[in-house]
Amino acid sequence: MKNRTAVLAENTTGPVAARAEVISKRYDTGHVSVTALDSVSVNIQAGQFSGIMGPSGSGKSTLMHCMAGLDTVDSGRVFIGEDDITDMSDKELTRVRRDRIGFIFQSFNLLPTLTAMENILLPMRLAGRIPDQDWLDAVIEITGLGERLDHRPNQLSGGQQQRVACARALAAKPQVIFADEPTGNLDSRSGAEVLTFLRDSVRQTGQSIVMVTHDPTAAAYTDHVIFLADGRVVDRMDDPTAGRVLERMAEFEPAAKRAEGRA
Amino acid sequence: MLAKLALRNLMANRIRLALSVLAVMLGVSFVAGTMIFRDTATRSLDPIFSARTESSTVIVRARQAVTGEGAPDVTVPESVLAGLRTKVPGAQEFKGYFDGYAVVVRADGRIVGEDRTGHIGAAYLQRPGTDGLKLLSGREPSGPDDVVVEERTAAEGNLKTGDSVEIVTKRTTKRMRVSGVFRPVNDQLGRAATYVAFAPATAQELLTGPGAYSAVFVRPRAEVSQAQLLQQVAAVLPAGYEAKTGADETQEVKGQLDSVFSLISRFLLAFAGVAVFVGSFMIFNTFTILVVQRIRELALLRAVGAARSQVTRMVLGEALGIGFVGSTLGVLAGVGLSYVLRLGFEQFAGGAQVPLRTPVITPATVAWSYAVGMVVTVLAAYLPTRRAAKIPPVAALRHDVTLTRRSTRFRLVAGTVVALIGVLAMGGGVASGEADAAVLVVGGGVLVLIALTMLSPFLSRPVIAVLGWPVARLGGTVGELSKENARRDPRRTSATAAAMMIGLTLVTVSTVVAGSLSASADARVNGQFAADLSLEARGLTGFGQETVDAVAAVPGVSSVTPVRTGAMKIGGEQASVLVADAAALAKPASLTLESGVLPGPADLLVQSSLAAERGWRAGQNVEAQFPDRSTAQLKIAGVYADNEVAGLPIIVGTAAYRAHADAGLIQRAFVDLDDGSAGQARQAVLTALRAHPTVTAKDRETLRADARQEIDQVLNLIVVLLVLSILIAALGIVNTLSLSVMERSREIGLLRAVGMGRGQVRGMIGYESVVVSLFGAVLGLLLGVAIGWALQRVMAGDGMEVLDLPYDRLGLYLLSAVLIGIAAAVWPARRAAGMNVLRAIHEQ
Repeated sequence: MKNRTAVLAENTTGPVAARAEVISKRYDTGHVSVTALDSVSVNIQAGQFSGIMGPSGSGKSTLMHCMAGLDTVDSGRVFIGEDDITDMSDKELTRVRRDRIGFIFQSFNLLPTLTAMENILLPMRLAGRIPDQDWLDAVIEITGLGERLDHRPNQLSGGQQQRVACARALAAKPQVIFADEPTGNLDSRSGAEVLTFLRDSVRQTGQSIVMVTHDPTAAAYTDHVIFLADGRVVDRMDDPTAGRVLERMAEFEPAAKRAEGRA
Repeated sequence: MLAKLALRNLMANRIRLALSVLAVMLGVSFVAGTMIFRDTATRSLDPIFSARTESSTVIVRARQAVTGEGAPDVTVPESVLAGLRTKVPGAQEFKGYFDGYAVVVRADGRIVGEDRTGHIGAAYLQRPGTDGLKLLSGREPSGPDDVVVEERTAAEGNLKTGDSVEIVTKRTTKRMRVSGVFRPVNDQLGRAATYVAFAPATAQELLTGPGAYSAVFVRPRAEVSQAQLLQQVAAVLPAGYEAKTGADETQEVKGQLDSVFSLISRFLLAFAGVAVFVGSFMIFNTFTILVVQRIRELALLRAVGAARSQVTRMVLGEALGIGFVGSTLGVLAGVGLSYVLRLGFEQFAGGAQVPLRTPVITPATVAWSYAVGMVVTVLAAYLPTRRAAKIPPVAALRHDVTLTRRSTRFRLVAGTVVALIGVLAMGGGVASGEADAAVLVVGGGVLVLIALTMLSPFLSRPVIAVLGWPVARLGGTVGELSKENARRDPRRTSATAAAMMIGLTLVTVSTVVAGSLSASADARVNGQFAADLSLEARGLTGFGQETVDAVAAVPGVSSVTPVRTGAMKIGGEQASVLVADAAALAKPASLTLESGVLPGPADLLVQSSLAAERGWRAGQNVEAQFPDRSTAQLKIAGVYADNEVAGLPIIVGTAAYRAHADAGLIQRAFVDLDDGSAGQARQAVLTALRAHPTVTAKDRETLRADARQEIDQVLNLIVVLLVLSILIAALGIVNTLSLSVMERSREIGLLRAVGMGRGQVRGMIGYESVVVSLFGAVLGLLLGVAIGWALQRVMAGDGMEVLDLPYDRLGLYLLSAVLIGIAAAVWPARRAAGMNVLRAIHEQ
């Protein structure tokens, strides 16, 4: 089943946290039909901090949504670990999201009515699971929130809020965490804090994290970057630096233009 | 331009506004429905009162010296008619007319139309001012045993020509044969009563007795006008008699009926007012939420140059639009509701019918409906509109602008002050203990209710923390989230719950008052009814001495004490009096003398509260006038403790009263049985009564049940009328929840993303709904109980000695609040659960 993109896909052979096999996705917006993903295959290595990069309209967010079971694919298959989630019912998908996936969004990650601590515990409480106290302490330790855990989100800074969101994702020990532009709304200092925190948690705990971003500086924190353009995987890069990523991105400029034109 | 924008906004937000329109519609439909019902009912009397046949006839009647319950029928004696015959030159013809009380008893002993408000027997003659009688089958009554039956009465009693029936009148009981069935044309007489007619001579024998007429119809000669005849008749009539035209009489009846319908409609409009008021909370909430949701859009308007006043006008314009649409629909729905009200009226009014089928919609009804709907909507939307106008233009560019809210301190202070005044008024009322202080208690209660709506944002956090506790326990994290959602915007929650609170307060006050009245009556019957049985008349009038004699003759019956109702003027005021032998009554009714002695045959015995009110003392003489206009100084022999069983506050000796009035019928008789053979004797009394179908025997238990049932009926009517308000309150919860769900779509998306199942989302909305509903219900129940308690304290001397909190009913109300909460959540919960996760997360 491996097709031409498979050449680009396999760079490691370790255990896989999540996998997309030749997935395609089209959006019909009125009379225009847009191809968001065109036969994309991706392996997310377990225990790595992976990045998905691409200009706007490249399909990177759609890829993440499909891999995380938030959106459906038109063709191809999606796996979390070794389990095929492609045809799962809403109920099963909800359980997968609750028990095996963590999310960090660009903004609005926290429920305003709950304290930081309650937000962190939310997914486990929804699942009716007892949190692993030692693990929880460790996660909270890394967030460095300390006494602010009793505060509600509106009493925390943007960076602190995102760290709470990260802690929430980590606390449940999911198989994989998907982060969608987690630093998009932060100033560079807070952003760096959050990214360092994510990288450290991968290093220290072996957590698998996938981050979607269009920011080369953010991509530089990852172990491995997948480049997307026009709904296709166009390149991969191990141990990226901001400079190399920026260079690579510059090559996509025409592709990005085309994508914009089509949209 | 702004008008166009307002219209566009209305269209764009039509789903969000739909429930507000519905709230306006429901309130207005109640107003319109009531007015349409009133106009239809009044108008349907018109043809009856416009009958012109025989309109030149003059009617002569005796004037009643005393009126009210117990006032005897008055008649025109032969001597007056004889005088008229000789002294009125303009008269062509004199016709005697007879009418009165007549009950039809079927062969199986059943009274036809037992629960009707009246039972009429009359001469088979056309009354002036009506269009006459039309024989439908059989033949007119001619012989002494002939009776014709009005068609509805015949249908109700399943009577046919040739049937043998028993006719019971005040004077006698007679077995007769149905000779035909007739229909009165445009005659109000048959409307709510059963109606039979006899040949004139028979009617006289049965209804008024020989030598007396209910009325005399005088027809003028051809060249004499009605006015001339009226003048001639009036000139020669002795004192105590009056001459009227048919039109005068119908006008009087019409006036009475009009005032009945206007009373009913005012009663209904009070409830409509509550419904409209409750609905206004929903409109307030909708606009508050919409303004918050549209901050950026409104700011953009300001940024591009709209003045504050223009923003105000635009939003008020939207409110006006909602008011208009809601009122239009409300008038239409009101037409439907008027049918329902008519059915309800016909159900309650003992057979009365509103004959007009087409609803009458007057311009006044339409004008009032629109005025109420639009004014209330605009008023309710005014505060949120002002907040909209205060949005700074910069909000268009920034995400984090929140609306500055008016200082909560003002609300807190004002609310506390109003609450204090209200509590003081209630306390003052209770402390005074006078029945007049009920006004103070009710006024205080209304103030506290207003204060609670002002203060409930402050109450909502702590109260919901308590109410939400079981929910949080029950629902775990989902329940905890719901509790927090209900607490997060105290103003919104409390404005939503306030509607429920108002409804529940009114329902609870009614329940506590009704329960206390019921329990008090119960206690009094228990304590004061010392007879073994009470003989009571079915229907409205009474029974004859022969029934008393028959029961007294039953072996094992030790005594029978008959009681009549009479009417007199005492100390210059009309009063219904109990005509009875006070000494004999003392035992079965447990009369306790507070002062004085039991009265002699010509003395009065007065109830304590009335004596206190009028300043009477035992031994004092009062001026009295009897129905025959004779006056006397009567001695108040004694004063007795307030007594439920006696029923009326003045007791007059039977012989003394009957010397001046025809108090033929007995309303009630107390039966004492010999102690030894009570069970047997009781059975024997019941057997003896089979021959007297218009009389029933009641014991203590039946009397208590009767009292309870009567009060419960009124209570149920009030609750039914408040149901619409509670329905609107429930819609208010639906409204707030659905708007909140739209507003919180990102949150719900987030929850779904981190693993909340659809069922859990539904549960979360459901719990929140229940908590809000319960919040309003609990406040309403508490306040209702407090007001009810205070009213009972104040009325303790006036029929409400006992406080009764009907826990079962109150518990039922709380349970209903929970169910309403669950039901209100169904739709918003489905919307929330059905939300697309991705779209919810990415929504702006």
